[in-house]
Amino acid sequence: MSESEVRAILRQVCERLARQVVMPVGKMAVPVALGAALAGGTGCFSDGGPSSTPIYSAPYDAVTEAGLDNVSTPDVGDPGSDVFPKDADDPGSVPLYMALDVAPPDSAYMGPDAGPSDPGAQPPYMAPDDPGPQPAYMAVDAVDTDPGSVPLYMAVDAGPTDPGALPPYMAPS
Amino acid sequence: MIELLKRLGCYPRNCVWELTLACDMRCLHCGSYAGARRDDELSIPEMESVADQLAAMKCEKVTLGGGEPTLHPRWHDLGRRLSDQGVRVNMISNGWSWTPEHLEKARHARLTNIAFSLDGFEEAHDRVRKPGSFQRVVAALDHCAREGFPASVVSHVNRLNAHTLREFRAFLGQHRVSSWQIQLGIPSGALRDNRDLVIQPDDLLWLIPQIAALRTDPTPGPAVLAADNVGYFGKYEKPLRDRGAEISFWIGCRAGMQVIGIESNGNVKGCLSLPSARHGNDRFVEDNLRRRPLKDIWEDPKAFAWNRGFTEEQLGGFCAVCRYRDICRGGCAWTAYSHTSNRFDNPYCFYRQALIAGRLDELGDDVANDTELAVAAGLRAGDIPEGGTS
Repeated sequence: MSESEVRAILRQVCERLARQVVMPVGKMAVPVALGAALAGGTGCFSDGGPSSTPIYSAPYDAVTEAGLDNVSTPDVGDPGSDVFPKDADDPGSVPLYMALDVAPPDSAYMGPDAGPSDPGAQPPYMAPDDPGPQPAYMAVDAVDTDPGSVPLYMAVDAGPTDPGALPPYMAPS
Repeated sequence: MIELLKRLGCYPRNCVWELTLACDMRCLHCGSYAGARRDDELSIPEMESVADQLAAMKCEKVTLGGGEPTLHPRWHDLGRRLSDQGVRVNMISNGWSWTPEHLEKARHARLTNIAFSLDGFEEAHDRVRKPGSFQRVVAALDHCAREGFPASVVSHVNRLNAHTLREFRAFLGQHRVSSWQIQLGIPSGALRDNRDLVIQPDDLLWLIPQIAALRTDPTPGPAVLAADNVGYFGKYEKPLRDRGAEISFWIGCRAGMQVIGIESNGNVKGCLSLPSARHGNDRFVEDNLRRRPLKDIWEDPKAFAWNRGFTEEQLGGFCAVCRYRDICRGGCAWTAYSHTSNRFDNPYCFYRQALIAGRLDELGDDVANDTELAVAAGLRAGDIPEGGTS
C-alpha cells in the first residue's frame, strides 16, 4: 500500500473520531504526544482497532477464539499419527511424551533451594559455576546492583513466598 | 489532526506477564537469560494483587509467560483470577514438561489458547532449544488437538529455519495448530552470543514477501500473524498486517501505550521484550509494583516517556527521513535498540532495505525525485528514476 493510501485511512479515522470523541469508560486518559495518540487511538475504534502483537506474547486471533472447529487444517485424521509413527503395541492415545524417556516435571524446581536442575543442554558459558565469558550481572547469584530503593522485605533472604511483605496498597481490604 | 489525537487516551490493553524467570531450557536465543528464577520474584498474594490491578485497568489480554510459566506453582490460579474478571488469558510455554495435568489446569484457568514455542523443524528447533524438545512440543500440540483445546505456535525466525517457513506452515496444519506467530530473532539476551543465527536486515527483502504470502495462503493451515518486529510498509504491508480492522498497517510501537510488560519481580516495562537489569540496562524499567500500584505507574506523566513523548527529532539514521516516520516511529523498539543502541533507528525495515537495494518497485510509493530519501538510503540521485515507481 502506498503512503497516500495510509494517510487517507488515517485522515478518515481522525475525521470520524472528531465526530465521536467518546472515551471508553474506564480507560484512563493520559496526556500524550502525537506518537502515543496514534497508538492509543486504536482503542477508541468502534471495531476495536488493530491489535498489537507484542514480542513474547502468545497469539490471539479470531480463529483461535472462535473455537478449534473453525481451524482450517488438512484432513489428517489423528493429529501427529503420521509424523511420529508409534510402535504396534502403542495404545495410540498415550501422548508421545509419555512414550519418551522423559523425566516427570520437576515440581521441586520452584523450591527455595532449587537452581537450574537440568544443565543438559545448557551452553557451558551459562553454567552457574563457570564465570567464563558470562558478565557478572548475569550470574545466578547476581542481584540488582542498586539495592538502595529495595524495601527490606524484598531482600534476598526474605524469600519469594512471604505474604507478610505485601505493600500496604496490596493488602486485602 | 494532532489536537484530535491528543484527546485520545491509552490503557494497558495487552499485557505480557513473566510469572517466573525459572526455565527448564537454556535457549540460544533467549532474550531474558531465563534459567534460575529471580531472587526477588513476587509472592503469590502480590501476584494476585497484580492480576486484580490489571483487570481493574481494563486490560483486555494477558499472556502468561516466563521463563517457563508452568514452572510457577500457581499459574493456573492466576490465570483463572484474571479470566474471572473478564480478561482474556493465554500462555506461552516451551512444552518441555507438558502433561495432561497442564491441560486440565489450562481449562480451569479458562485460557483461550496455549502457544508453544517451536522454532522450525526438528534439527533447527533442537539446536537452539534443547535436544528432544521438538518431539515434546509436537506431542503437546497433538495432545491439545486430541482434547479439542486451541493450540498456537510462536516461532523465532533465524538462519536455521527462515528458508522452511512455507513447509513448516503445512506441518503445523497437520497438527491442527490454530494460529502461528512469526517473529524475528533479535540479538538481545543470549542471542547476542549467537549472532550467527540472526538473520540480516537485507534478508527482509525475501523474507517479508514470504511471510506476507503465508498470511494470505488459501491452503489449509494455521492463521499466520506477523509479530510487531516484522515489517514495515512497502507493498507487502497490508497483506502482512491486515486483520480486518480499519487500520491495516503498522502504527508504531505501542509499548507503554497499549502494551505493558511485567517482570516476575514486579518491574514494569512498556514491553516485556525491552532490556532490563539482566541486560545491564534498566532504563526501560518504569517502576516496581512493590513500590507503587500499576495505576500510579501507568498514569505517571513521566512514565514511558521514551515512547509517549516521541518527537520526530529523536529519529536517527534512515528513520529520520523516512516518509512514514511520524506513523512508524522506528518500528519495534526492542529490535531497533538491540541492533543500533538507538530505539529510533531500525535497520530491520523492509521499506528501508528495499530502497537501499534499489527495489523501488517493492515500495508501493512514488519516490521519484525524493533526493533526501535517496541520500539517506545511500543511493545516488540518478538511482531514483524520474518517472515514478508505483
